[in-house]
Amino acid sequence: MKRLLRPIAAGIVAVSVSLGLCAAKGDDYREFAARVRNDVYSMELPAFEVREVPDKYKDESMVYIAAYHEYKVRRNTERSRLPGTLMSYSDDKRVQGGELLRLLVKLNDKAALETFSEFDFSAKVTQKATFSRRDIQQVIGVRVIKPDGTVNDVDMEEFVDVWEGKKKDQRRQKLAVPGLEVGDIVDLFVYVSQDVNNSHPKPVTFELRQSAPVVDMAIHAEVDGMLCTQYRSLNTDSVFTGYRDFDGNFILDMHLADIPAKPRMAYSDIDQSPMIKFYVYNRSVEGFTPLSARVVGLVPEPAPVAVKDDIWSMRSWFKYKGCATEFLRDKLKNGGKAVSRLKSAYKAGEMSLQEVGDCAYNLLAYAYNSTDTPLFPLFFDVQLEDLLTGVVGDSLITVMSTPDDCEPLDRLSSIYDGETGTVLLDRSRYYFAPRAILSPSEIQPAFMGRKTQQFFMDKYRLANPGVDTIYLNLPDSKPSRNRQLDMISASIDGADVEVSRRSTFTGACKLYPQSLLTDETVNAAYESYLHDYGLEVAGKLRGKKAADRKGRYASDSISQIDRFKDEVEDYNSHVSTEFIGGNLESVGLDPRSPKLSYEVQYKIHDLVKQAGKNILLSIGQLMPGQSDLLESDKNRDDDAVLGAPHENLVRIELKLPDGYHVSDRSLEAIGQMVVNGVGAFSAAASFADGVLTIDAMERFNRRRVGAGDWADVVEVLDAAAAWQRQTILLEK
Amino acid sequence: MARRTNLIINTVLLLGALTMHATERDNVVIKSAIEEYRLVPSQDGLTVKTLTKIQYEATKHSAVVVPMIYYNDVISLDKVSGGKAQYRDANSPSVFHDDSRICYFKADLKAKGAKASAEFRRTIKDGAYFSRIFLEESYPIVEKFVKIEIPAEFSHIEPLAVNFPEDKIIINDFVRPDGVREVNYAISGLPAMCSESRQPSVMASSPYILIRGYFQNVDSLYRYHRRMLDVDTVIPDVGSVLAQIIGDGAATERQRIARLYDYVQHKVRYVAFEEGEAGYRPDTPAEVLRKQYGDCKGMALLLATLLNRSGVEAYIASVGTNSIPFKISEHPTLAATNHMICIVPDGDGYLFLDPTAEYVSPDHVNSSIAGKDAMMFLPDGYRLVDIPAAEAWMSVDDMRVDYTLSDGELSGKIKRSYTGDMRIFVQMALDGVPMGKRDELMARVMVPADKVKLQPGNVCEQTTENDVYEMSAEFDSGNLMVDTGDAVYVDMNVSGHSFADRVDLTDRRSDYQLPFVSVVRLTAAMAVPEGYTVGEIPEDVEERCAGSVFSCRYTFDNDVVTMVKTMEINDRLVPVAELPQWNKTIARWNEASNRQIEFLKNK
Repeated sequence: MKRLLRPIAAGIVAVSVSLGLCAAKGDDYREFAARVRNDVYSMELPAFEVREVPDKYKDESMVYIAAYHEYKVRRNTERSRLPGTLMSYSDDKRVQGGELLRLLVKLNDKAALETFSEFDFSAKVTQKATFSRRDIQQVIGVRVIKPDGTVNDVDMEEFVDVWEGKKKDQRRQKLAVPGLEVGDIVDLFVYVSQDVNNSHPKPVTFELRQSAPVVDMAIHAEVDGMLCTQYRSLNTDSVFTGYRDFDGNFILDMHLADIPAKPRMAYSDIDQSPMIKFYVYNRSVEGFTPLSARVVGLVPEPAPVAVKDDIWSMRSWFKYKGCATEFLRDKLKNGGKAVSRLKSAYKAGEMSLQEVGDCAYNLLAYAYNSTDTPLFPLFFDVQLEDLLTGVVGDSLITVMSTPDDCEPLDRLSSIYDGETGTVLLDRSRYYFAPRAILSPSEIQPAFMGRKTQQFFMDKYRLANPGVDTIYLNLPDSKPSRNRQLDMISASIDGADVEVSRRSTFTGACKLYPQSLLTDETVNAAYESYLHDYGLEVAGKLRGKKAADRKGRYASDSISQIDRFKDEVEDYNSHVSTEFIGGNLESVGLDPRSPKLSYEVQYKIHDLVKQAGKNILLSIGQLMPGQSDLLESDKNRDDDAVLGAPHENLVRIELKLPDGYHVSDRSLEAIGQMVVNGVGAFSAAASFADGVLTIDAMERFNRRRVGAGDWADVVEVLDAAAAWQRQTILLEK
Repeated sequence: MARRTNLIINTVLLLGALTMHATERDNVVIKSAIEEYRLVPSQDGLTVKTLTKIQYEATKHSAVVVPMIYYNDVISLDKVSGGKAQYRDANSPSVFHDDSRICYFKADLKAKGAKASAEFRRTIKDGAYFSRIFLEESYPIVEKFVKIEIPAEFSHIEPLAVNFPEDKIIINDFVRPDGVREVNYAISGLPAMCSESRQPSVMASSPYILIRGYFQNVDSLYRYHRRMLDVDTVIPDVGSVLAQIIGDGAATERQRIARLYDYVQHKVRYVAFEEGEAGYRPDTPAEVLRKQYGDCKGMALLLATLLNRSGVEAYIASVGTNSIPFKISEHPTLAATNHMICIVPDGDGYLFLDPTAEYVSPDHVNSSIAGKDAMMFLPDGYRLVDIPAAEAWMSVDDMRVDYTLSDGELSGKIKRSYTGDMRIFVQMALDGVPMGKRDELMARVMVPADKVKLQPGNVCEQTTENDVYEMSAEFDSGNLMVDTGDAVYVDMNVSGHSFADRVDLTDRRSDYQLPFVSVVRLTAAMAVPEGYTVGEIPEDVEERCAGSVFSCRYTFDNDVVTMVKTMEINDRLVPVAELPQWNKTIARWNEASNRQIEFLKNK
């Protein structure tokens, strides 16, 4: 889809799963589309009659004067004919429905015009699986309203049909909107109808805030009373009003007004943006329906306990005694011996609880990584629990949480959002399935500070259902645990500076350089670590697969050089560089030394400038590229989400050319210190034995910063950006 | 600006070639390939039967390859074998809609040494479209044979080798006993097609076979085009349309041209629509006017029609953009043209109006067509018109900074002006910025924030009567001065330019091509502040490389120090062999421009 209502409708189109009440049969798409257009533009929506834009939004690129988002779902109980027979049957596993998004948008500039000038969409698609089928149809309608009030409906003849497939049976449509200019208002809709058989409609999210301001927004839902409908509101107090019609359907409405645009940076949709996740379950398909959804009717804000119980149940399905040992034997040479070794070492006191836990975690992770086995987090956790229970007994806590791209656990709305993990009883380790290569001693960043539900064992949970209301947060991290440390050794070469940099990462900061890791280096690191504990294992790949892996390793090592080069360019994004070399020193999966580190060598061009007999050096440019905020970003009404607390320390050791020293004024000017509630930036310099040493530090203490503290964030960022412009005078 | 794809783009392409990881390119090779082009007579004259057989091999490890073939309304796909074929629309991102389609499938190379084969048969139904055969593939070629069979009756068809590398392609050209001419190309060790920054167009750099002779001369090519141009040019109520567009005060012909050109440039959106005949037949002016969008043909014809109706002589013309490295007169084939413009006779010369390019003034020739020739369609024939070549002075980025040092603070005025293609370059970029951020982005375009932080509201912009786009601002702080106590050092080199970036030479294979010839000039001036004397004035520097001149000159006159830093790009192509020298030249130029001006405090 080339350009389809990117700002607001992208979500709808991406989901493409809502259900239509008036799905067309056969190849009567044009008739269907005409009917939909007629229906949509006949709707009585007074907000779509408005033509004025509030003065405060006059400088916005585009403004949604009105937005209307509708979702309807019904069971389809029509009798159908069995293919190839005259027999009829009732199929009560079908649901039909439709999702409509209608927007009235004022286009104030060319960027907005570009967004709404061309559309390209799949008009008809059928998705088939073994037992399920979805027939999807999409219709787009556009109406252009000129500044003088003239309304131009875009005729269906303006749409271009594109047929795809060998038999040209898949239809797409394209539209270049005629007569559209900056200053126009566009009244457009996207309607997606779907006929679903033996499957659930995928969830719909009503997003109540957009990247452009919305003057008036209405949400309307109609769902069959005999289906199970659940919805979860996030980051909003807005509620649906509703009633039940004579057919037993639930009719829900919500109205909002004057919604400002989302900030373009430091904003997390899941944590901050008001939205409603809306789920309708095709309850007849009970084999695929979670227990929590096997009820009839509307369940607003369902108790998370029910969803969680479904996750616990799913976890139980995977669980059987010995599942880890079986897996390890299957995947690793000496996999069974490794398990025995862990047991005996722990029993003999050769390994502590943490060491056993870490070893078990890395052993499992290695088994997946070295054999290219897809990892399903819930199963990984079950295996880890099984492995550890066999070694250390019941000294474990099982926890459930949600990663940071999902709603918090106490607002859990879907079984797909929860994950479980295993915690050592002394809380020294929180093991969640690996999402990145980290040390087992580090909490996976996606779970830092997240709400959890914690149990001692399944038995306890089942015996004490009331404990479910207790939520505990996982430890949030400190900046010092999420650190990037850059040790820069530099010297002047003509107009350039030659740099050798060692970068070391811990905690959440290890996510940045993950692309520099190759399978070969990661597996070698696992093998080396496990070897230290007497676990002599290797992935069971033989013959062609083993040879294939060897070939892949060779290719990866070539592309790794490209990735080091990219790293250097990203780090020094404001200046011209010339890459010389790079090598990985440590992967960082060993809890005894959990740092990921590497070294790179490169030249930065044109940093040295002749100033009479002296030279000027743009020393700040040796630092990693800093965010230079636009003035308009400096005022903010929303909280800011900055990611995990973190700090970046940089030490620069610059060897001066013979006969030069740093001017006292320059040395003094380098010193800088900004410390406030949200973070800090500091720089200090010293000069001795021909070497200028600078220590710079940028730190952010909190994941989320209140709007009132945004000025502090700006202060730190501005200080860092200003320091990056720092020059020093080297006097002869 | 593309028109209908009139070529057989790389007979077999591989999906995602441009995004393919380096390791895949190193791993998979084209073990062997055969392409045959058999010219056969048909009712309409000439058709071409093609056969493509290709075999891939994984040399290091497993991989998935995606053999793919291009077809459209003119090129039919007759047979596919090698996998479960899928068929889809294949517009280029720059085209809204055309009839390009691809057939592709996935083939697994399960281990090192594994092979996979694909075979495609097609028919080019209109021989005019048999214009080029590209030889490179997305993977390195171990061995490939291309055969063209030309029966005696088509002896006017002539394959020409273009951009052939030395020692990698052997040509064997002979006439068989049955009178059929067979031209064989044996290709070995040809590297994969590459994607590098600012590489020249594929026709300017990749090896290919240009098929000429279908059109025996320019007249014959004209006749082919001409039959597509019979379009209804009636615009209902054209008088009031013109009155609305031209308005009052456009008394002269030049003013009418300017207003109509500006109207089509800015009020009609460029939307490329090239399905079937629409690839060559322009939409009617009335329709383009109604829709307020059109492709190059529709926009050119609308402009020509409006000009004609307002009493200005104007014609549409087919041209090839600079991505085609030859003129129509040199090789009259469909491959010679890919664009349409409007030409207005102007005294002894012409105005070359390209309404798809915004911000081009009537007097300026858009660099994408400069130096080419245009087939101008007259009522009863055509005229081949040479379009003047671009010269550097036509596209200028000219910046002037005047510094003042007062009370220890450096302040100043900046004015930056853009003409020709430089103007298009900057204004098009600013158009993509949401209006709420435009002022701020404009400030940063004008001068880098690490040198001078302009207050966004302080930047003024205007377009002068001479079609110069100007930005101006004042600043009172910046990062341009170092005060040592005894002296101040002032950085005159306020701004760089992306055209002067060094080129990454790692594994570079292609020549380097700048977007257009141009002049980038920075003039910085500062009067010696009271209480100071000026130190040593840096020496002038002038460097030349690949036809371009880089200079930095310092003068000291009337107590004013002035630096004039100039980059004059006279040839936009830098051969790959000269790139190391190019980088060194830029380094020396930067070093010279970065020299600080020393002002010593009087004691």
